[in-house]
Formats: sequence, C-alpha cells, structure tokens
Amino acid sequence: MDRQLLIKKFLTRKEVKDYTYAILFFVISSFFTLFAIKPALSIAFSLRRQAFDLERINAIYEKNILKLVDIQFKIENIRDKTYLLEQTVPKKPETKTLVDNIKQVASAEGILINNLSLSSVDLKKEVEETKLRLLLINMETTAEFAAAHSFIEKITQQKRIKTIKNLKILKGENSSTDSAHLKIMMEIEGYYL
Amino acid sequence: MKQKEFLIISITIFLTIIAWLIADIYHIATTEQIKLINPKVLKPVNINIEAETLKLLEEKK
Repeated sequence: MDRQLLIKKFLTRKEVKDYTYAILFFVISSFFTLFAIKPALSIAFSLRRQAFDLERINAIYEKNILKLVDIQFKIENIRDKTYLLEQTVPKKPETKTLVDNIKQVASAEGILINNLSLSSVDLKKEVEETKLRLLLINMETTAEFAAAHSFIEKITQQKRIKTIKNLKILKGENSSTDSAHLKIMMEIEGYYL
Repeated sequence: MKQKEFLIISITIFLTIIAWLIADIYHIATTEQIKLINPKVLKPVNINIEAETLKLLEEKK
C-alpha cells in the first residue's frame, strides 16, 4: 500500500510530469519524422527533380529535332549537288585522276614534268571516319614563271581539292632571262575520305 | 537512469533523425534521377551545311 502511494506521489510531481511530456514529445516526433515525414518529403523532392530533369531533356530533344529538320531541309535543297562532294573529296584515293588532273594542266601550260612521285597509300589502315586522308605528290618541273603561275592557279581551281604544301622555285642553269626555265619543286596534297 | 538523461537521449535521437532527413532530401535534390536515357542522344547536334561552299565548288572547273 505504501509502495503504490509512493509511485502515485512520484508521478504527480510537476517535475516528473514535465520530463515525461518532453521525452514522449521527442520520441513520438522522431517516430513520426522517420516513418511519415521522411518518405513523403523524399518522394516529393524526387518527383520534383525528375520533372526538372525531364524538362531539361525535353528541351535538348526539341532543339535537336528542330536542328535535324533544318538539316533535312538543307540537304533536300542541295541534293542534286552532292556529286560535287564526291568530286572534291572522293571516298577512294583515286590517284590516277589526281595525277591526270596535274598532267592535263601541265601539258596545257606547256610545262615539262621532270619528276612526279606519289606517297604510299595505306588502304588497310583504319582511320576515323570523320578524318580526311592525305595523298602527297612530289613534283619537279621546268617552266617559265608565267606558266608556273598559271599552273598553280589552275591546279587550285580544279574541283578535286588540292593544296600546295611546299613550293621551291630555283633559277635554271641555262636560262637566258630571269623568268625563263625555272626549276620548280612542289609538294601537292590531295585528299580523300 | 535519471529522467534528465532520458530526455537528452530522446533529443539526440530526434536531432539525428532531422539531420538524416535534411541530408537525404539534399541528396535527392542534387542527384540526377533520370538515368535510363542514352547519353549519345542527348548530345547537341552541331552540323552545318554551308551552301556557299557548295556554290564555290560548283564554280570550280
């Protein structure tokens, strides 16, 4: 009887009551936060982030689709001119065409080709699809300055793209005037895919 | 154990759970949630067709 009375007296003390309320408050809040608030907030923030990500992806898709439509439109417009690309930078080395081009211009300008050599073409080596491959032609000629000038101009005006990497002009030994019979050495680069 | 110690433990648990909640939400908010899309498709298309260049090529002999 005394024991029960003591417990009752202990529990009704103001200090004990306050502590009990406070402890219960924190324990229940922790439980509620852990099992109710946290999952709800996690889902809400996750969905918000997903929506943000999807909007961003959608914007990129839209931009890409518009760009593709634009490219398609441009390609349709230039469809009949695509053969030009094949002529300027062919898929195969087509060294014969390249050499023939040079020879034709040389003979048209009355230039004598003393030496013409080609760099080796490695057909086995795999190169990135987007990279251009080189074909180097070393040429040695004897010509007058005006003819050489015209030769260079015509070479660069041809459809098949060629660039002159190196050019050396030397005065010939038996030349009567300064511009006659110049020894010209050239390194011409041709391209293919 | 005294009641004061119980109170301190319950406050510590509560604060830990709040910190965990904040960290979890921050992690969710900063981590990309959509991971299934092929990143190759998301690259911006940068292709330019220069009609002017084709005109120049056309003019060449």
